[in-house]
Amino acid sequence: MLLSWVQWEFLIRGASVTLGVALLAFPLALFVAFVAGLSLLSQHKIVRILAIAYIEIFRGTSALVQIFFVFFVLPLFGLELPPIFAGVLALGMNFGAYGSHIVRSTIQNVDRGQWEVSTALNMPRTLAMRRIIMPQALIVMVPLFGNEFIRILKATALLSVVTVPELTFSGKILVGHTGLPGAVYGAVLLIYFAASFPLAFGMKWLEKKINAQFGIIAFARGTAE
Amino acid sequence: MPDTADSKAILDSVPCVEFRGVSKSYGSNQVLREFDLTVPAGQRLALIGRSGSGKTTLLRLLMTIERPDAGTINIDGEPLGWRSVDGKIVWREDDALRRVRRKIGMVFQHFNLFPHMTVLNNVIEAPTQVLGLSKREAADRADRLLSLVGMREKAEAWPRQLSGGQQQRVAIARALAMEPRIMLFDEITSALDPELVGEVLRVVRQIARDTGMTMLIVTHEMNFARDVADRVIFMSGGKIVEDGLPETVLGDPRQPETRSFLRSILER
Amino acid sequence: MNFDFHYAWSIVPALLEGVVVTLEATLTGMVIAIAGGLTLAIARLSRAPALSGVAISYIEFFRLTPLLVQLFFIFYVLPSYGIRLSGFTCGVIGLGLYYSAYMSEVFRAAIESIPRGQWEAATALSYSRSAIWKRIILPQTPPIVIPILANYTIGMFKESALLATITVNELLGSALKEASVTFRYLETITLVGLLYGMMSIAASLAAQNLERYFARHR
Repeated sequence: MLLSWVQWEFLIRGASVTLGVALLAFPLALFVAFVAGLSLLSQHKIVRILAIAYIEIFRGTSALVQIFFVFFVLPLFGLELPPIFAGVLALGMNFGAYGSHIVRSTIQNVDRGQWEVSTALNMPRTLAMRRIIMPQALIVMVPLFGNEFIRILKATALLSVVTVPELTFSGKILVGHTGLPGAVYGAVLLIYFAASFPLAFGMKWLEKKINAQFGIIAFARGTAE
Repeated sequence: MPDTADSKAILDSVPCVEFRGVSKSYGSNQVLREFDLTVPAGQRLALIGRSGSGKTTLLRLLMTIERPDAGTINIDGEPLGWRSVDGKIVWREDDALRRVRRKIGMVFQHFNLFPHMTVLNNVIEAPTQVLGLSKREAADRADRLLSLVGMREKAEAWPRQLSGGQQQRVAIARALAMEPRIMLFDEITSALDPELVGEVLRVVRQIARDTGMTMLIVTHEMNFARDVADRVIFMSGGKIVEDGLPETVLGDPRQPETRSFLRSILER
Repeated sequence: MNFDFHYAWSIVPALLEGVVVTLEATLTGMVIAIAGGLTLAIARLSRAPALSGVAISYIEFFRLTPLLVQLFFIFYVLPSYGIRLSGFTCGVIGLGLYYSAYMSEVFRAAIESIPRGQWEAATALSYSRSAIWKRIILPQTPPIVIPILANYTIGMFKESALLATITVNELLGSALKEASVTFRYLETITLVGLLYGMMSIAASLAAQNLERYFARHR
């Protein structure tokens, strides 16, 4: 369009780094979310408190502050990570905190009756949790975590401030070369949109399908981030 | 299907279900106060009364979904849940409890089918996972029971695709798959559209006819109660107000409270 | 690496000045977001397909693209059209535009949760459309909207940190400015984290109380 093919290609390469970072941060976030989310439901008070502390710390500060912390402060304590992995760590821990609420609330929102009928069928609690409750929670989690992935994609833009060569950083460099902030940032926004929109659409479709098949209502009420 | 000869042998010895001095409150609301009830093996007991009268609580306590605040519940003479450990009475969720609880099955007002499993899998889940049956044995059992409730063709359907009446019939098959000796029915038609009630009650009537199971039925369907039950109890405020034969309690009750309750039901 | 408490204490005043800017940005941004969100929600629910189409496009675009890039766009593009706005103003506009997309969905959910019967009854009583909005529908939205609004305000408070990248001296910006001179990132970033953390935890607790209050008085 207003940019040459070479320039578009440069941006797309940045976008591939964006995707790579997101694909690394997402599993980390999932892992953390499950550990923290299940800890919130633990019988032991100390486990719950640790989980709450972790979640409050990572939800109380923004991802950008956490990125700076991993990038500038951790090296002072001996943990020097290459920028990309610093970014993956920060985003993974941040989104893990938000994800933990998804894990906890989907489990808690499984209908009470499912626990009751499991008792009526003489199932031990652990069996009921494994075969009846968790599967239902997991089904609802899929579209919710799908939306979290989209948010992670957007959040990778923050890594541009610590010089990770993702899409936004590539944009900054290109603006420096071309002096066309409108065309470049416009293109950058378009690429983010082109990547996120199909995913968002897919999640909405998935929600409908899940509801049609299982009747488990997938509630979606996230915070803006 | 449970063996009728089996239950007849026990009939002569020990009462099947026994509530002794059972109390239960929810917050400030005392639903049952030192409640006593004996249900002999093989009896068909219908429980009627207004909501909040404690009838559903009785079933829930029996199924160990709730714990009594005081008193004991005995099944065939064995205590359910509460045991004496080092001189103290404690609730133990363990093998002993499960061994006693195995004899009891329950069907709920809102069916509670497993939405993430097909009809067939709903029925074989507990037999395979809890009783240790092989998939083949469980599937055979499921096949028989689904035929009994008239849902055999829908074995591969998902609960979401079924009507309320169909779901409830599957729920009955699922409960029967565990071969309980005591079946609890908690207002199983109250959540159904009127035209679907009949198909479910038909199944319960058949179970009553063909087996010797002890049945405790909480219901608002008076005609059904009259058909199936050999004893009816009217409860109010956590107490038994009237207790007797269906013809008496439902046809010509002695207590004025029973009369006014029945009148209000008929006016629906 | 040792934490220099003396140094940390000395920069607190500068950081608190940054907090003031953060709060100003958050409040202003929220005002824009609420106004914009309400407008978008009404447009979205309009029966004119052109209006609702524009609203939907706006909402989808602003929600699916990063706020940071939107801020860069506003900050770096406007000057080439002769509009010279401060980083703060650009930042506030950016926050406002971004969050109005989210706020509009909240308003829409609240409006749609009002039973259809009220619309019909009001029409039967000869209320004009604008009167129905003003006197019947919108006044019922606060109990549903306010708790969520509180949470979004806390979110905006944290995300205002992004304004540091467009030369605004809010909390993070003041800290980075300080660190760029002394290179003492340990104390500056730790303090920033602590300040954000304490304030947002306190605000979250207040928001939870607000949620409980409104849940009771529905």
